[in-house]
Amino acid sequence: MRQGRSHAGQLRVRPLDRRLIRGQAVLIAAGLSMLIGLVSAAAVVVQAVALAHLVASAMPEAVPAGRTAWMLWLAAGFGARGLCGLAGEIVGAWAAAAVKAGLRARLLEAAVHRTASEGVPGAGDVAILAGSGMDALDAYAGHFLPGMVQAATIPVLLVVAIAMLNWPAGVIVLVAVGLFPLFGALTGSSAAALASSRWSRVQDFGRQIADLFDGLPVLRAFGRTRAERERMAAAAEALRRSSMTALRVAFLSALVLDTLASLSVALVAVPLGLLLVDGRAHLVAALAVLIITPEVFVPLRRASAGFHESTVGLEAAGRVFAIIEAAGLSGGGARRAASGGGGQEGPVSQAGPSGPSGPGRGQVGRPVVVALDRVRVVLPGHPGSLLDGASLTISRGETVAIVGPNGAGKSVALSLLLGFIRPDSGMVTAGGHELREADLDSWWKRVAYMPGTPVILPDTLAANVRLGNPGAGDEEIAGMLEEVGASPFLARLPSGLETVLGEAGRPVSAGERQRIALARTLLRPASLYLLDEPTAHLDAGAEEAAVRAIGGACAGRSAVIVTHRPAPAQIADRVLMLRDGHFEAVEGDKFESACVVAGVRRAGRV
Amino acid sequence: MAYASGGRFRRSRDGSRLTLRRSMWEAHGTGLAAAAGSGLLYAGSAVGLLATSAWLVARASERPPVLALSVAVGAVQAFALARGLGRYAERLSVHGVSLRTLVRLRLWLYDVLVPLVPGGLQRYGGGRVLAGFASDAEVLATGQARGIAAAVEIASALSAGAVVAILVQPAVGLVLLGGAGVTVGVCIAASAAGRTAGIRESASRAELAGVVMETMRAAPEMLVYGRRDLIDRRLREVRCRSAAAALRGAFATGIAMASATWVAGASLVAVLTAGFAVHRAGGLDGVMLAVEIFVALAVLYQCMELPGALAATRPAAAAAVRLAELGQLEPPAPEPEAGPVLPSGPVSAAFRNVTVMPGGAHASDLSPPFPSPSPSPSPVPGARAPGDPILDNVSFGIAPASRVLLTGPSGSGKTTLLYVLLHFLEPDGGRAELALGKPARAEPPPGNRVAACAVPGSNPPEGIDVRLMPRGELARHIGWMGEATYVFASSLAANLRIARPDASDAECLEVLFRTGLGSWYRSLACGLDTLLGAGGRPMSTGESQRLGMARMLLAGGSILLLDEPAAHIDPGSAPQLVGELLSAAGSRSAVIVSHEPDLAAWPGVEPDLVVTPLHCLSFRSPGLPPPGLPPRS
Repeated sequence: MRQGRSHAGQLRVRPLDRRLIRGQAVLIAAGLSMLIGLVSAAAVVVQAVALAHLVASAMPEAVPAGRTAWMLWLAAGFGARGLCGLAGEIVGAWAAAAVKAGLRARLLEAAVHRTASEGVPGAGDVAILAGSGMDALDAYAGHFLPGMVQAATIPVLLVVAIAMLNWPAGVIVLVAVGLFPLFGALTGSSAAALASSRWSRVQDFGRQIADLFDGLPVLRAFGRTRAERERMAAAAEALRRSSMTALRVAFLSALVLDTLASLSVALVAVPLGLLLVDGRAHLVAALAVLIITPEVFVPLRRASAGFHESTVGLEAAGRVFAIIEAAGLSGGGARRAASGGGGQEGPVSQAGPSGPSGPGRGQVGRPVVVALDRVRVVLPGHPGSLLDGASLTISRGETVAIVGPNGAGKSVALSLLLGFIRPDSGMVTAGGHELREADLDSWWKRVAYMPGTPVILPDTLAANVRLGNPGAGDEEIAGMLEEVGASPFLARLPSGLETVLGEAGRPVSAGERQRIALARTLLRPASLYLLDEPTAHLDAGAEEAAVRAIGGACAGRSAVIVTHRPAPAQIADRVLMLRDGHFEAVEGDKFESACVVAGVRRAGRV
Repeated sequence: MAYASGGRFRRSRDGSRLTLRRSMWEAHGTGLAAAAGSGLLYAGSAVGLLATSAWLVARASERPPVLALSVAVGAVQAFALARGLGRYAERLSVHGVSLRTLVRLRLWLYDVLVPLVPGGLQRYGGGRVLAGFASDAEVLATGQARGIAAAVEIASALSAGAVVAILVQPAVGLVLLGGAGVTVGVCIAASAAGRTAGIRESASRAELAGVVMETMRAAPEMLVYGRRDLIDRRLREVRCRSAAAALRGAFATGIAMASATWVAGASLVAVLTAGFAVHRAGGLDGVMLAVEIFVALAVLYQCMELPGALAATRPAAAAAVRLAELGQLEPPAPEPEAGPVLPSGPVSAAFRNVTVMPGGAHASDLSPPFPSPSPSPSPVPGARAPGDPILDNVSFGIAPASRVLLTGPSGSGKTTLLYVLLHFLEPDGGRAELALGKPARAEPPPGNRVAACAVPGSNPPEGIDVRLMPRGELARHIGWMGEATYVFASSLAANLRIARPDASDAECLEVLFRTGLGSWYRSLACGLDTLLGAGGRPMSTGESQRLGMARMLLAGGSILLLDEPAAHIDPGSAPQLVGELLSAAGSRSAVIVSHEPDLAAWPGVEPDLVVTPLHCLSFRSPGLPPPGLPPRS
């Protein structure tokens, strides 16, 4: 039952991808890494020259003078190198945190769009990606990027130092350093070509194991665990063998680079010896060259190791970019939604050409005309277009109910009216102005929105209701709670309106949450009410009260109610069915049959 | 009772259930020896390379005849080549060990998990958790490779360097050995100190992941209410904490690296001082002093690599802790290897005085591999209080071809009842049994929709206790589907044949059409070979639930258990789905679990028996309200 399948193809991100290397933090980190590289290269040279002097001082014709000074230089070299290592780790961690924070902010901004259009269930994957997935970038930003910078600086400086000490040795090391990337590329690419197919099999098998484990309860219930264990054992053993074959090839490139590094020591030592025999070289210089030479290759090896470490992170980054780019069409509202300090941005920033006459400029509380004009919405992962030529006008003060089968795009229609997403074609207008051009912040000031799964803040009941209307007094709040049928709930609370709810305090059931959110929404003085399944999770009696409250609050105001149940639809002026991408009017007498087609549940008739 | 005890389970198919430690380290002799040998070749050559080239240069400065250097010239080149080859062989053998470990760890994990799902891991919240353990195994195997490599390299460098240095001049050699030993000790101590920072770091990462999830859920509403600040502030706080923890972790690693460098420098100075003293006393000529110092340099450089290598093994330590905790869990229901066989045919089931106490012991304080992305369900009013029995003396029967509805609020023990019948859980009292044909006890007449709870104490002929039956035998009679049918990343045919491996294509098609997947099947381009699951053709929840039903029908059991089959279906479509699933069940018995209070009235459900586990409790104990009234709160 296991069939190999690779997802890696479309997710590949090049190591020096522009989308990853951007922003001030990366530049600063690169600059600091270069500085650290310069200091540590200087420390290596100081250390080598000091040690060479000390060793040479013991030779027969040498004068053992100034040893203490050279000892101090040697110690200073080690001290500086230690500090460079410490600074490098901290800069790396700081750069990693900065790269992750930037990418996470962009991911969240894209994810808000996704949550608004696909609902909360789609959010789980994104949350994991934004959490542990981002952490996979630590190796990339912390090791690979600084490693690349240092691989470009330290070897150059050290080769110059070697050439100044003894130019023939400098030439030999320069040639070896030049061969390093060449050999690396040659063996690397042939080894990669040979090994990549096997490596992807290794990764696929990891995925298959995860799949097998996730489905373990099913296997157990059908009594198939033993047979699957045998298959897994056989497949794992076969894969181990082929992995070993792959590793034999994959490690060849490391072998070539290691051998090049150690051979260059040998290649430097032999001519140096011959030059010394001829008296054409100085012992101190020769010893210093011998100490410096292996150090030339350390940053190169470290960068290549960092590259291998960062492959997991790059794959995660690929998935992040896929989400960000899929949401690329989304409007400015979503963009600013999650971008770190978005809260401080002034509402003026989005005031487009429509300027002072935008839809947000109308009086709060005065009903508004909103319309969808032949909109088409294509969502990633959905075949075809979700909405296709859908048109809808809600006139001033009209209440419209939208019914339709699951997944028809009812919530997406609300997201369009809110400006969370923009249509792929067609227009969304509010008060006669196109929402695309509008300042969404001031538009939202005129909208009351109750999502399918409302949020309960870890705060008091009063604060939770007051979210919709910051100026509301306690009596107003209590009155609204009573209207939506939450008074029995309120009566049970130990500290009444001041009871802390949510994770910090009293847990809230789904029905209670629904009623609190309804009170919050209806208390808001708004021009347009958008309610997504306002009576879900309520039993028949509670639904009746809620529907009455909705009817009272929305009378004379523009409202859109998305619902599966007949009760909320009955207070609407019009009922529209959203099916196959567009709206159809449902006549009063055909309402019952429309409900059957839409699968509307007969609540409260049992 | 003669059913298998816990001890018997542990001597499972391999003769014994391996411990985590044994499955990691046992029978690696050849691999570890090869790693040690090649590591010695690598580290020895590195020491030899620097020592001979130092000798070559120092001796050359004395202007000897060129011929006197020829051996050293050859040796330098040989060491250079051997060093690379040794490294290559060492890497291969170390990875050979860790790949073998990975194979064994995966099998170990499989053996540990099988008896724990789905009953014994409730604390983990299901979902992607099991896959998290699978990646823990990978992390652990990688960490093992890194740990072995670090240990082999440091030990080889120390021993090769010390031997050469002591042979050249014992006193200087001993100073080097001491200095290198102190350096290694400092590295290990500093890394151990850094562990706390690492643990704090991973905790703050988990917190960040949770807050990210919350933020995303709340974002649309907060945007509209203009309260972006509420979510931003929280996110920023946690992000700052997480970044600070990461910096502290980096500081700890950096300090370990820096102190390794400093101590190594001090050791080199000590070797130099000792070398000069011996040189002055005439115990060491200039050339051999150069050799001593370069040997010291080679050894100390290797020591300076240690903190980085130790930091790289840190994730493996956390993974090992999680897996070890998992390995200590007791399976909630040990399974017998062999047992009585029930002939094929319509089977009835009966619960007799089943009592289940809240466990907790099965899945005590475990840390999940990563934070569960879904918020924990809030307790429902009316559910049992903690400490009360989950099921208290519940008795009823399931006749062949009947429809039984289990209702009640979350936490009232509906799923637990199914698990008892499936022997995923062991009841604390009473038993569940299967029998061929009708159960001995009279059932309420069909159409009776009142909660029916038999009064315990009657004495009907006994069926076979499910605890005596091996898994394969139980699976032959009972089918089970959960609230979200798991679809394997495999072909449609393979997904169906989990239920019965020898099912023909025609049989597979038949069950698909019977469960209402006919038109869906016709829309598939590759028919039964269509890939499903992760990376394959996406399925709607309704489609995957129908697939779950198709599996059960293919398996051919005569009792089908449907646990909240419509839990993730939108309310508008749920009745249709449930009705169709039940009509597909045909003449088989179907037990359907639902928290929907009005499910009994849905078209096509028409239960013969409605059981509310909490009502059974109230029915039995005098003084509590009779069935029909709301359960006690």
